[in-house]
Amino acid sequence: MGPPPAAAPATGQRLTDRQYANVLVDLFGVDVHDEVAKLPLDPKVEGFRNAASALLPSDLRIEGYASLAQQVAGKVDWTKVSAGEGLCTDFGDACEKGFVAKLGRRLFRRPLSDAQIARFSRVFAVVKGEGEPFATAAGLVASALLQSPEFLYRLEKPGKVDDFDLASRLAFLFWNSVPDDALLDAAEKGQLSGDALTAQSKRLLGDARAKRALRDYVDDWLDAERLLRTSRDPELFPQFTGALASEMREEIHQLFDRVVWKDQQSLLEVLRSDKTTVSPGLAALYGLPANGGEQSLAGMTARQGLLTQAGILTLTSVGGAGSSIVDRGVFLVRNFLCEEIPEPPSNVPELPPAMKGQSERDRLAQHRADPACGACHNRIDPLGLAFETYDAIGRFQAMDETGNKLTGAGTLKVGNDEIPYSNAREFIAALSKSPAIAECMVKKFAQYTFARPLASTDEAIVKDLGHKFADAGHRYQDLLTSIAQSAWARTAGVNP
Amino acid sequence: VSSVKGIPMDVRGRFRRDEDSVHTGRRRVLRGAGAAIALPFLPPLGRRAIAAEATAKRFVTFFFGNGMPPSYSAPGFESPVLKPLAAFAPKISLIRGINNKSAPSGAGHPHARGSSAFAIGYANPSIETAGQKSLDVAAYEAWKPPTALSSLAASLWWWSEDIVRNTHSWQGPGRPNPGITRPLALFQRLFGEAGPAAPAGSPEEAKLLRQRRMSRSVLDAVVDGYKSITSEASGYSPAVRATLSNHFEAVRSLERRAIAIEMGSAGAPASCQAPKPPPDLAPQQTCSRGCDTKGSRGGHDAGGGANKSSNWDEVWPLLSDLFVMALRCDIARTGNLTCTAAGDRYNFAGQGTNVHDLAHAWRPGGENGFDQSVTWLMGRLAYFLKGMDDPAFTLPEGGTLLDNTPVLIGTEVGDPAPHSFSNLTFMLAGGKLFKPGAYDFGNKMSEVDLYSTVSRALGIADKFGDQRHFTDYLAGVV
Repeated sequence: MGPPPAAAPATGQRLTDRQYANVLVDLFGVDVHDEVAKLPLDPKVEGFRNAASALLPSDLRIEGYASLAQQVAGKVDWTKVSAGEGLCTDFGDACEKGFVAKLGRRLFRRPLSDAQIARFSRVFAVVKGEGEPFATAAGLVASALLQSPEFLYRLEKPGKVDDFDLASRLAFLFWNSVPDDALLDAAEKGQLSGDALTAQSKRLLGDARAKRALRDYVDDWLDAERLLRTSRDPELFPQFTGALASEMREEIHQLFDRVVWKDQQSLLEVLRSDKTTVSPGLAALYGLPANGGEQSLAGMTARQGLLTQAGILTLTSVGGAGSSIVDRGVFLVRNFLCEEIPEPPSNVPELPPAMKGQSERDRLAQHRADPACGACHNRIDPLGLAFETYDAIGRFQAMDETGNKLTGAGTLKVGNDEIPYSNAREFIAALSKSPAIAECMVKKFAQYTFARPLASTDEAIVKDLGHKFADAGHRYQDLLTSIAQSAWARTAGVNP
Repeated sequence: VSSVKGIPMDVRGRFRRDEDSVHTGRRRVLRGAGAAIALPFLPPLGRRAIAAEATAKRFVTFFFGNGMPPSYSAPGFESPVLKPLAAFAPKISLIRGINNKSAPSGAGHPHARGSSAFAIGYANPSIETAGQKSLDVAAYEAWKPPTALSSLAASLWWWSEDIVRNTHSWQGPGRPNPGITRPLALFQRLFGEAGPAAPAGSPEEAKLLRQRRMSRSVLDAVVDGYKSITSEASGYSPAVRATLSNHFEAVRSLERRAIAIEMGSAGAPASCQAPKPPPDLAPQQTCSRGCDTKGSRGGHDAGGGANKSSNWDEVWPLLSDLFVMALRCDIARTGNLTCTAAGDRYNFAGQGTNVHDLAHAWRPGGENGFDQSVTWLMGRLAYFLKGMDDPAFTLPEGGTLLDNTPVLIGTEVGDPAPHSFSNLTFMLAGGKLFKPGAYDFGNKMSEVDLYSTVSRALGIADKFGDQRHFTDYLAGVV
């Protein structure tokens, strides 16, 4: 199998768990996020949980779908739904087919064929024969639709991307969910190109579902959701409760919300923002006024933007203790610079923990002196040294646990410049000069959009999107809009 | 057995009361740490639980993560690490010096490569899938037992999200049979969510039957959908149809189960009553207040582990007991039980470094605390074997469940520091077919030789695994 065609999204992927839950909220107002969380975890592939190749079915998952579909069928007042759609609500060809066609089009993201309608209409006949009411039958039909391949998989036929395919692609891009009626109508009328496409993009961006989709993306890209599954030794970090972890994740999302939606700023602003919205618990952790809420960080050397947020610092403290210089450096290398750093060779002894007179920084300096280690650590460590002054839950620490003084100072190479920094704020100023960050943001989002790792064949489109991203002031909204208008929109999908 | 030592009494107490309210009969008692503690789960089944034929074949695989250095198993069950298993030594073949030959050519990190070859004997083609079906599934398919479930998988793991690292039951490439991690979910899979069966001829029964017929019509529509889309005429690409075929197979298995329920042949035999459901625990690491059920699916960072504040010591007995119960009740005859994933990271109390990193830092002759985690794992294995070997529960053909159920036990690497695929340690417990004792094959025999030996002895197939790595059957073991 050769490299995938440029810009081709993976096709045939199963809905991610997040997408599945989003659809049920959007179409039925039923929230199954907690239930979906009990399915086997969608695995991360090169940083994202949506890689088509990894979204495998299993008996456990299929039984989970059956059970979820049954729950949804039981939670919705189907008579009300039918009536609300202007449909009749009794057994009989018109009502039955009307219901299947209407609901089926939303779930399958295109009109159903006669054969498909017949497939689901049979459920009505059986239920009627059992003497149960129309609403029960409608719920069971919904349950069948929800377990069908046309719903659970993003199917596209090989060759041309038709307007319904495109409507789905757009809906998953902007909303991480299925198209609404308006988008499907536009597809049906062939109004998804030129100005009409621009207008649709604008409309989709203006919807609350776009805000949710950005949260989904941040949860995946930065692994922010993992905070909900993160814990700390309660003896060392008694204040790290599930509630605080959840507030940390919320702070990350609030930052993106403000930069992207409220202030409509450059996405790079998340790194430099001097405003944050915190809970009282986080305010205490940062030394901010006790009530929390939106706070200014101007003048604080220890706090600025995303990278000094307790959530990110917690997520990047893999050992749960110490300064985590390497893990924090690797996090930046992989997620903000898109450089490849291999896993350490298996025969490398672990870095011994800091001891009195020798901090993690000192240990790493020794480590780098070995050329075999220096090859990677000369790149990683300068990106992590700025964060040695934060502990495993993101509190500022002037000393490590053995009493060594910590400085957070270092030198960052950006292009040909060696930029010295003496704290996180100066580090962020230096890092922000790197053009690689904006490029990496585009790459990451493209990988997520294509639902597969990028290949060399994608270089041109990523580069083009990068130019447009820069021209538009690095705004998330414009990145999405330019993806919608790129070759991606009409390039036939590639098999997972 | 120290496994129950750390269980918080409030949670335990509540659960025990639940159990008491259902089962007033005799309860198994486990002696440990100077106190008699009831096994949380095993109900008073008696001998009648298994209505199956006397020649029923069973087979279970057991995986544990992060490897076993050859020196740990060299002294046999005298080894401090294997000591928890000493009581079962007369029923275990300790098989050392196995060369995992298919792992090196697999995909991904060595933990993934070693792990995905376990009980399979093929290299994994990608990080997302094993290369072939696993031995437990092959056994199920060869024997076609009349059980409600096919191969049953349960798994306790934390950090290693790659599916090939935490899943050791595979129905084929692209068809994982992931282990259930929550005791309540495992309970529901064994006993269903439904209440007690309705009396024959009652209105409740009529209603139940009505519901089943309607559910069948839903499943029929779903099955038709997969049939249509996986057919060549659908116009979808072969790759997409292949993916959907895998999904279809899983739907089929759901359908088979539904039919079995309708025919009244599925589920536990009447003599094997479902106990009260266990508490809805999700495996947790070091966890302070407020993070109760959210860590439901692993993927945790290395915040803690099998230490005083994790709930693994509470979750494991439930998973293990339920797994034993599935075999006792003849709900499944084959399966995999996994206790920590390949490369899993969790800290023991008092250890500042997670077990994976300790494994890498470990050097022969210079113990650094890695032995604690392997000893703990052997303790979990011992707990499972003890449940299997309960003398109060014997089979019609004679002997305990363990005596009639071979258990293949293994891990992904030998010496973990260099991720060595050489000199792996395996064990074959129970099952009468294998000769207890210690064997060292000096790295001259492959894992495919071992799997083929097991497969042939169990009547699954004469050979198992990538035959390029087959040299001969293991001498003396059978």
